[in-house]
Amino acid sequence: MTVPRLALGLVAGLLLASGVAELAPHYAYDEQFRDAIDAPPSRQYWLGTDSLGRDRWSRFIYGTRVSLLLSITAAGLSVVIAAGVGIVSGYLGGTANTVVLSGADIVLCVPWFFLLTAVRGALPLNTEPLVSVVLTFALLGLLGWAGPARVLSLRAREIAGSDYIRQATACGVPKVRILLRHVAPNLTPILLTQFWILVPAYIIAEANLGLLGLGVAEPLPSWGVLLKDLETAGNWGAPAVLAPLVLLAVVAGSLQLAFQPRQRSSN
Amino acid sequence: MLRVCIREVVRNVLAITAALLLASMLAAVGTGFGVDERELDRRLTEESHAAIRQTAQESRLSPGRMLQFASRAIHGDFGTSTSLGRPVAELLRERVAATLPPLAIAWLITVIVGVSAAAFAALRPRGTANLTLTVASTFLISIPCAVLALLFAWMRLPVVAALVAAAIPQAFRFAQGVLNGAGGNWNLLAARARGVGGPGLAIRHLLYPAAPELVGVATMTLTFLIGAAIPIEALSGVSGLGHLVWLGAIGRDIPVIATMTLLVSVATLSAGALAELSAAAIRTRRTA
Repeated sequence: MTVPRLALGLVAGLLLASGVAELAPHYAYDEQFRDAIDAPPSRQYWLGTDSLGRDRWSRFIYGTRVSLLLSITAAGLSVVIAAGVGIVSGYLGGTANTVVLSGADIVLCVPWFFLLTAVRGALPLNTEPLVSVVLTFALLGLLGWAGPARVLSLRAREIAGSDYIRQATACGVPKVRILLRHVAPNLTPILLTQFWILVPAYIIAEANLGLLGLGVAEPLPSWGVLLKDLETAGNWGAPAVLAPLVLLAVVAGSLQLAFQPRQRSSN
Repeated sequence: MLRVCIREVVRNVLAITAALLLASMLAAVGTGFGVDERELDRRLTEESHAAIRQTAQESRLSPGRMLQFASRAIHGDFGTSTSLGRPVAELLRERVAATLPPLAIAWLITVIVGVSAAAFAALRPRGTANLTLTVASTFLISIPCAVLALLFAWMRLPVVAALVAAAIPQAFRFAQGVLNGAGGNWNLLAARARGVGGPGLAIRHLLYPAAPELVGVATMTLTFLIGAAIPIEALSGVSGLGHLVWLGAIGRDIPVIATMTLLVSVATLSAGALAELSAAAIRTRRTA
């Protein structure tokens, strides 16, 4: 089994597990047990409870689902925007290509996390938890188009100059048809790779935003929100508090390892 | 060389104009965006609420307001922070000393260590060291900077250490992208055949030929560090520029956010342009 398949299997397994975990004993993610504040792991609370008396296991299940599903959705949004912009501009070339590449360059020049913080800061923070989830991940999806668009545009430019496209053009095939039938299908592998490169980046970005109080709003859990418990110094030795961090690092690390560019031999 | 210079100048002027536009737009939407939180404050009188609404109405996005911010920014007047109630320029002057020295030190350490590790790995393309470094860097990259900040604050280590820890895996990966595959280059093989080894081999036959690209690696590392400074300073309690950005974001302080957007864009674009020019200069010198 190859590394990408293993990584994808891990993500699929986790998504499935977070869905199936609902069958196991659990509580609502915002249900408080005031007689069990900061309780240690037990039969009733598998990972213990947090400082507000909420079951950590239940929050972990919901948080995993929120972070994984929405990172995947946000990556999908970025890739769709990148595909629309990058493929068309790359195929058309000329001014359209120059404008898109320059725009992507400008976006890529600004530090990613700075851009994210600045734009998130300009949006309202005192929103409903569900709205905050949509805002956070929509923002990730909308701001992450530049890198993939650049890659897709360059590849589309190469394809546009290939013999079979020239022949199709000479035969009078309309541009839209060439784009949809000949250019876009050849870019699917790149599109998929870019998608899986973005997923871990968004998981990490959400965690950073969550820790800074700029991500998903309480009481809705996400990995970023769950990691806020690490702000309490005593929690660094608690495995239950570190569980989201370990899972985040394993998922993001596996995906990055699986989809990073392979070493090329110069021989 | 001249063409590169002209291209870079044009590109950066356009990019800075775009950044200025973005910053002006942020400033122009300012308090007029959505509902002002103060409108929900019951302690304020009806007159105060009316005044807040009036301010919001006046500060809606308009070309005039954007132009006003842009012209003021050019003269160093970035307005007044809405959350801290002080001129943004004053806040910047106060905080720059807390950010720049640690950032510069971290950058230097990161580039040296990251590039050295990548060179070490590139010289052993199929070795365990390469695999170990690649896997370790990948998993270290996956730890959010904010978590590193908390960990280092808990361990009572300086903010430079957190910046270095966050950026070294990135620098290693950037440098690995440049140096990977160079292990099989003819000049390196010839040098090895002549018995050259150790640091001499890495410096003269691996790093020197890749110098123009490594300048780019240094710039990318700097860009990453600027972004990483936000969560690290915010969670370590360092009153620097990163902390100011975070305060601005939390308080929806648009003058602060707009100013920082402009300054960070100018800084990163200038660094990028400098890197491009340095790389072009190295290439020109070599071909001459």
